[in-house]
Amino acid sequence: MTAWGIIGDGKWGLGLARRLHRNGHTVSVGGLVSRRKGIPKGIIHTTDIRGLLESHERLIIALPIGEVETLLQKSEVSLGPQQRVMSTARGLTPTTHLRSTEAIRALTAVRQLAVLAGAADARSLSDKSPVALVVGSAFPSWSAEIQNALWSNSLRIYTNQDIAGVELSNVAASVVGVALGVARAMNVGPAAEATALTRALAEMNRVVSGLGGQVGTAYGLAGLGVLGEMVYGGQGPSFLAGSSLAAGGYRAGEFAEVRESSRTLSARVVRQRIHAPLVEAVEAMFAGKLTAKAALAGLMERPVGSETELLIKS
Amino acid sequence: MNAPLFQFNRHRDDIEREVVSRVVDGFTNYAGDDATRSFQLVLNDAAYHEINRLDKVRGREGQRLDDWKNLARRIGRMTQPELRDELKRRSEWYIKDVVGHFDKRVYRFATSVLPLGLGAVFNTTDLAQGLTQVRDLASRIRVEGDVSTISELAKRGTLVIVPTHSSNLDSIVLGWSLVHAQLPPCTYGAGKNLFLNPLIGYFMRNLGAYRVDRRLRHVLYKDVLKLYSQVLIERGYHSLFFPGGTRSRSGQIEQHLKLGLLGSALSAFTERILRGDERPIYIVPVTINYPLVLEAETLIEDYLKEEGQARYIIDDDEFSRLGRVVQYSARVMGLQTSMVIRYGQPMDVFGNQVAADGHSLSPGGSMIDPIGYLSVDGHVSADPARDAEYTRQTGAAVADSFLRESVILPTHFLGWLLFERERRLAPHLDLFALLRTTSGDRHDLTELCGDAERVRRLLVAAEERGQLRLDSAIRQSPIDEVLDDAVRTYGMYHLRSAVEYGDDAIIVRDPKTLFYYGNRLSAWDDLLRDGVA
Repeated sequence: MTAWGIIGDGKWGLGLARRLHRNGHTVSVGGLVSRRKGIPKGIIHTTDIRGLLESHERLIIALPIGEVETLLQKSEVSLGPQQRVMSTARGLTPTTHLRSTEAIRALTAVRQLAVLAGAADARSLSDKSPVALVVGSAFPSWSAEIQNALWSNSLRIYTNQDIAGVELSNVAASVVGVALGVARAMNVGPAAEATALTRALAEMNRVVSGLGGQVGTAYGLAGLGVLGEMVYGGQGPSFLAGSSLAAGGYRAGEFAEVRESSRTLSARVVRQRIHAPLVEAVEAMFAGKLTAKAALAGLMERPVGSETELLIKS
Repeated sequence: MNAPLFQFNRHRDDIEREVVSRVVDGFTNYAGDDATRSFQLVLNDAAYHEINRLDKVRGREGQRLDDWKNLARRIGRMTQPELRDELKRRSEWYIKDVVGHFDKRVYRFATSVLPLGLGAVFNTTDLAQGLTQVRDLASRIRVEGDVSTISELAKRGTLVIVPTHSSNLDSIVLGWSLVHAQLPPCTYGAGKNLFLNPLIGYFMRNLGAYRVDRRLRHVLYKDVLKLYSQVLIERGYHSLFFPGGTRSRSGQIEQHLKLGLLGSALSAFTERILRGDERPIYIVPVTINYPLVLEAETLIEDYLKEEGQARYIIDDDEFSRLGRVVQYSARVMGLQTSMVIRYGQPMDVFGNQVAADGHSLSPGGSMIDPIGYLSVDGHVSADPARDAEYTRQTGAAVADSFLRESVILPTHFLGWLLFERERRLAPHLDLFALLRTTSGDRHDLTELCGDAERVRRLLVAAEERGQLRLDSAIRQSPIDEVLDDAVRTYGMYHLRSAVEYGDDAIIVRDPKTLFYYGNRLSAWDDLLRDGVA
């Protein structure tokens, strides 16, 4: 059994800590404020983030994407070549628009990186609901180690070597999922919803492959899995954000994570000239430049091409 | 200078023995735990490929066909010791074919006369002015980069020099640059066909080059070659190989690198650490930037053949015709623009930059110990899947360096600009239609200068961001002079000039040559296209 350090004592951090601890591993969790409440028995909690980072070879960064760069830019934090890191952060960084593992790679000497993604929310990690996640890593021995450490009869962990694809699928799904929420709220009917889902998948494939992932990764747990959860469950932040947009808007502070994903992803696809009409329409709706009705009309009026064409560049 | 290569001959037999022993041991588990089956598979693969190949050749080499056929018939009946002996015997034959030689006297002779010789070759007009030509040669071939740091690193560890590859002249001019920059000689793999030229072959044989037979594609030969290269690095011999594998056919800066030999640098580092030898290994990317490429016409023709049909080995190009080499060299001496050999920033085998004192650096600039990449819970181990990904990342770092350290010359600039204008004029045409139809097209000089000025501004901004490097003429000269330099340069060597002047216009004459030189800038297509009206 091995020692794991987890940065972030939110729902994801503690959910993973419980799973690791149940499987017999030693787990230390780092947070900004000293706390005892909610910390499961047997798990060490500390506010000494630097000490935790320096003393663990196996690390999980379970922070919101906006805090990953901030943590690693602190001059006292230094991660070394011997360390292996898994991130659970979703989305792209606020200013540089990088995936979480891209940011870790750009700021530290760590190479063996992984990302955990999929349809499960943090609550299902904690309450033993049957759930499956995917760990993306180009390093097979690191992803196998994570798989073995977390696996149980209520948590299946699949592996995928396309780490960029897994991260991008996850963020793209959270953005195009807004469009699916809009479609449901506008009562367009099952056939039109199915069309939206199909085109959303095609767009995810373009975004993922255009930004460095592999064609097909979007069909896995991090992409289609996340969209499926929204469509079957009719909920999730992205889907609900879509409902609000269709109803005329959202309240200040609502759906901050989804809005941030939309802003950063659309900035990156525009910069890299990726053909992504859904992503751009969602961002235009969030920015108040487009109503849901106008967005739907605009998408329907666009020139139509081959269903199988993988036109990446706009 | 006391370079490791000077001691090569003394250790050659020992090196050969080590390679053969490790090749044979390495194949014991090739097909799982069954050594007999493993040896059978490797020998069958070699026999299959050799019989196919030798069936088509004549002469002395063809005589080996019967030997391989005979082996193929016997493999199934051989015992494990017999198979092992056979594998050893075949490996010994291949290593003898591959292994290089180093003659210190030839090196001393070459380093004293090479500048004179090259100078003479590069200007055949007046051999009596030999010494003047030495100076001229240094002005015609500009060596850039932090060579003094690289020279220091060579004393601390082992260099693996990885250049871009455009021409068969690369190893010659690079060899000159090593001497000029007072860097140690390197061993390097060169296509066996290059040894056919008696004069060049003589020098290559005696200056540390080893022979790579690119016709041999079977796993036994590849393993012998890879382990030979690895053992040389492990033993501290500075090495050089072209990670693009072969000359760039399209003129593009190589971005898809062959990772096999780059992987041997990491394997050598791991093996050293496991043996307690912590001497570092440094990867040094180098770009070789020609205003004119000797074999440009043949290479681009080859590229334009259907993808996948391109010849891997070309033995009838301009390099094989002495007249063309002499003509090329003489013309290059007359050029206003120099050829540039640029040494990039050295990195460790994981692609991390290294400081002048040889220590690896994190992206933030702090000192790190790269051995950590190989350790799990404090124990260093080899993990082929992990190391393959490290090598892929190092390859990406080398490819990035090739872009950052490429020096854009006027011929690249004008080639890209004219071809992009042609694309704009006929956006419906595919590449091949463009190449067929654009000869004779006129580009108004005023319009062209306007586009050139805008593209130059984009290039200067890219250089300021550290994305590439520009020849000083592109950065500073009046734009019409930059274009004029390129037009004159094209006209000095190629059988058919790429462009010529008309009334207030530049007229396209050979679109393929333009396309070839312009491709040097293709990595920045998206960035530069905004500059063309």
